[in-house]
Amino acid sequence: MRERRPTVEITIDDTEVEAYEDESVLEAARRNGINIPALCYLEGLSVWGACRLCVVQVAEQPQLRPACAMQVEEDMEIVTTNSRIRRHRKAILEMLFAEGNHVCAVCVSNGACELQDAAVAAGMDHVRFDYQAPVRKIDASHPKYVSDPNRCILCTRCVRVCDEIEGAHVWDVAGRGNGAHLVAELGKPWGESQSCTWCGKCVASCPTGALFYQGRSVGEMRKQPDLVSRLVSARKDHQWIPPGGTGDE
Amino acid sequence: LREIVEDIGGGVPDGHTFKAAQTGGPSGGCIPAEHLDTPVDYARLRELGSIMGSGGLIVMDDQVSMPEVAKFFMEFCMEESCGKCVPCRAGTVQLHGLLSKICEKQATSRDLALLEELCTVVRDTSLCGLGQTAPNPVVSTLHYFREEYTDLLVDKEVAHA
Repeated sequence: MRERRPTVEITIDDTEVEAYEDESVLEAARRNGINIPALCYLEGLSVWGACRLCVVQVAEQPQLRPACAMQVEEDMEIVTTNSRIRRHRKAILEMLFAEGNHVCAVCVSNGACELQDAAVAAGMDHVRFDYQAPVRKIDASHPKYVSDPNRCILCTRCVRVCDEIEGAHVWDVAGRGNGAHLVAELGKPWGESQSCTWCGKCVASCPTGALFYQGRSVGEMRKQPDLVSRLVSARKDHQWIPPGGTGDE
Repeated sequence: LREIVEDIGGGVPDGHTFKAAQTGGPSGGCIPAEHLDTPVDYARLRELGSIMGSGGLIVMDDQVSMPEVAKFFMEFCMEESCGKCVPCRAGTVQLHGLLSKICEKQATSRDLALLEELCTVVRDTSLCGLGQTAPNPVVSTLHYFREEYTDLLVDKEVAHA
């Protein structure tokens, strides 16, 4: 059973909420039913802070800060959305869509994609930037899974879940800047990887259609992003939460 | 600044005139001729929209096109981006693309507006100092030499109106 954790009072969007002292603003908000969009954050994994969708404003401070990487403090006042934050989130999503080849109509994750959902929620109905239309090779060498880097947003959930939860560390990011890309076992085809245990946690955690099961067609892929938090609570609290249950108390 | 450029540096060569100086490296800003008598200290450079940064100083004469300068510095930031956060990784690429479009006289006033919006997005949401300051050369050249951008637009009448 979980010990009682000390709490602090914080204000999120004019609502006073109780947050655990060791919690991030994003965790406190979500536990209290206030949604802050995020793509790289996944409950149960370490914080990465790279997608920048979860940026919020702290009281009157002019700069925006990522809610996932900011610990709560007593009497903190958080604004999760205003016109400036909405505009910025929309622009970030447009940049993601322009950067890869995100063609929902032919994607295995169509209808069950966190990137698609975030775009819909943000009201992003078109992309103002030029599409970069990269040419990236699909890796279908694995007997069970496929990696399509055209749909990868480099959230590194797969990298973290494989390292932190499965302990295999198959995935890494290679290259930098616009050339950054996902590699299996330091650049091997995924199917030739010696360290992959075929556990599928990377596929379950992937927010888009970048990692999916062999044989799935358009719109047929369903991910399990809550698998990670359920595994973590089973290990830490010796409590198994069935799929669809909540991780809260 | 005048002392550094004219006395220590020997002034602008070949009979050309001083146009602007970029201080603080690629993520700094430019200082135009009307501010040549500014003392080079942290507070004053900040007031003019630039920074001390690395302490580097690039002096430009009247032959230089400011959108080209901004494009040059953006290319540097794009190559230096580590690729971790989205606004810097993808934003510098888009900023560079928009600046190229302007330099090639293919851009409209909408592209210019998008360039300005993207500058604030990249500045406000990037994870580290590289992305947060990458738009500086664009913002400061736009501030002091806006006509050089609008003159290159396809629909310059709209932009000037």
